[in-house]
Amino acid sequence: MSRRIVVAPVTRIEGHAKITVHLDAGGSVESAQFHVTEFRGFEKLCEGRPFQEMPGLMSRVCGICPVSHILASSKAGDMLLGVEIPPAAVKQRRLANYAQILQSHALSFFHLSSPDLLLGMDAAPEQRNLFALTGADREFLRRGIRLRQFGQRVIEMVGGRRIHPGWSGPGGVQHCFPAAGRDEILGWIPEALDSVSLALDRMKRLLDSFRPELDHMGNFPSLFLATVSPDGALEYYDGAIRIVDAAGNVIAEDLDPRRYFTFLGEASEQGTFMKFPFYRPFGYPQGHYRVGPLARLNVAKSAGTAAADRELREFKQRGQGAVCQSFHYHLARLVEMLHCVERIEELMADGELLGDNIQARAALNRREGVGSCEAPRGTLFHRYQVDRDGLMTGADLLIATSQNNRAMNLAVEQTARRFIKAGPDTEPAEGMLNRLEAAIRCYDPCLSCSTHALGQMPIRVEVLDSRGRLVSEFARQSE
Amino acid sequence: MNALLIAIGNSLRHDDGAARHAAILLRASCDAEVRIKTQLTPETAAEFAGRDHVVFLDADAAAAKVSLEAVRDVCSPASLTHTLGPREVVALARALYGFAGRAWLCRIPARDFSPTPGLSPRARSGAAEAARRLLRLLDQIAAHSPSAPPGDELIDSLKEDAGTQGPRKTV
Repeated sequence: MSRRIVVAPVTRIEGHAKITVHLDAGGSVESAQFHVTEFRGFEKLCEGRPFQEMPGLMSRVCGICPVSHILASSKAGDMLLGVEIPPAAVKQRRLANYAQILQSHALSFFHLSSPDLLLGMDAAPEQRNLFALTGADREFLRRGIRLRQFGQRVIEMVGGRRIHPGWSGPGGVQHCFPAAGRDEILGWIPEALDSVSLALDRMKRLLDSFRPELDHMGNFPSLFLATVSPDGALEYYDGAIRIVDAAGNVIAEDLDPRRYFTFLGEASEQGTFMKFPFYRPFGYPQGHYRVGPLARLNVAKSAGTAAADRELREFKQRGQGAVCQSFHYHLARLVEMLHCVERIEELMADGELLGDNIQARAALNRREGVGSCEAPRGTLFHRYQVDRDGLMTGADLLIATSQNNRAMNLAVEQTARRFIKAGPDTEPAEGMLNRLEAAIRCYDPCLSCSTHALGQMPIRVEVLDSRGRLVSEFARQSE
Repeated sequence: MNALLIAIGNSLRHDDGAARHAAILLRASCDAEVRIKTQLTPETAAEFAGRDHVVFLDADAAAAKVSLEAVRDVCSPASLTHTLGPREVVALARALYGFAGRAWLCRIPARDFSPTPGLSPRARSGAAEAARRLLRLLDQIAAHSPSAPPGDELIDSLKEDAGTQGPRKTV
């Protein structure tokens, strides 16, 4: 008899989701889907608000990546004003973005994914958590917590608070960067570099023990999209969009992110509130693409900082053309963390960061503004329309996580096909269910970016028979 | 005595801001370091290093009256996802940062967590009472042993005495 397996909630990600696996009468996987069960409504909430309020409002979209949203929103506001903001303001925004990517990646790698990596995919569920790591590798965990603390502290120094900073807006930023903050940040740098380097070495050594996961947990060809600098290097604040394919061929470059809606479309599918973005010239689903750490490393020709460049060159050797294994998002995240620490150190030596000209003042000059940046999970776009008084008449937020939606679904299906062993009367093993979740965790999805949710995420795994009847399900309730 | 007070809550969720209110009262009335947080995170554990006493203040819908209790050391969570309480943070602090001091939790009765600022009269009076009790706690701990954490005997006596003695300072 055919069955349906439901994993709900997907744990150790941000947001609410479930996974459904359909089995045929012989117990083989027919299909699998990743469902986002939250509803997103932020665009509608924006209507009627003055565009000057948008950065502060958008900062509240997410507690994990508020800096990304405030930067994209501020840049959309800059465009509405028609101004080029002062260098000091640009440097502050860049600094906050590097710090946010660092702290968010630390959260993903150390807090959420390291239980799988250090304790194994088949470890008992009660052992796959942060607390078990205090026994398994105390120093590793301590360093991870410190790294996130460092990133949050930098954000606090730049933006006034660690979560939901509101210091950036249309035309620049609200206050100067404190000169005294440089010494404190520089004091953290050696430890941060050391911790990331140790984690990188550890992760590389661990890869051999995850060969099945590397090969079968989201290993497929796709396009990759990211922002790059004019010389093709990693760029997180301002640049052009480049797209490469699985063979590493450049499909498109020098695309203007302010015109993203002309080359990116969104498809809808049943069973999920999250849309499926795609590259318009290729259509859907052929034009699906991946964003985030793996995509950025695949798209960029170089990192632009010494240590990260060495790691990037080594990383690129792991693929033929592009690196297509989703499991390598973890390693890519660590390379980016190294790059962010190096960039933060560079900015501490940049005198422009301390400048007191931090605002470009202007009245409303345009009726549409678009802002983008590289968020921890990928490229983020905000597009606003306003009336003659500057009141919002429309908003479109294209969130990084949603751009990985198709890829996450493919990863779940591939993982299910490889790892689910179901007989007529046997339940799937806990390790199998965990691999389904781990396939999603590679992407570190932040579903809360699309909607707000409270409490612990629930997850459901459903097993359907060939007629779509629910045969078996496993549910984990929210706390 | 090297004490850290951590008030938890969101002042935009009505009575959830009770602990913040108590923290503001305490800041004006004692020398102990008082920090205000919307929620606890693993990073909070790192702040315990070198502390003799850590006191959490939190609004609690299940509390019938202001209460003060020791936070148990033993903690074996099934998983860590989106929630972290005083017990988990204390356990992390002991495991990762060598925290060997005492931890306390002061619960403030609260009923209304709707998304509006301000406190109900009950939560406001509870916050004031919590501040008075914590001042007494700090006073008694300091009087008993200025440099070392108190033993179980004192902890028990403090719990029994809480609310029965006059405040050192007026809140």
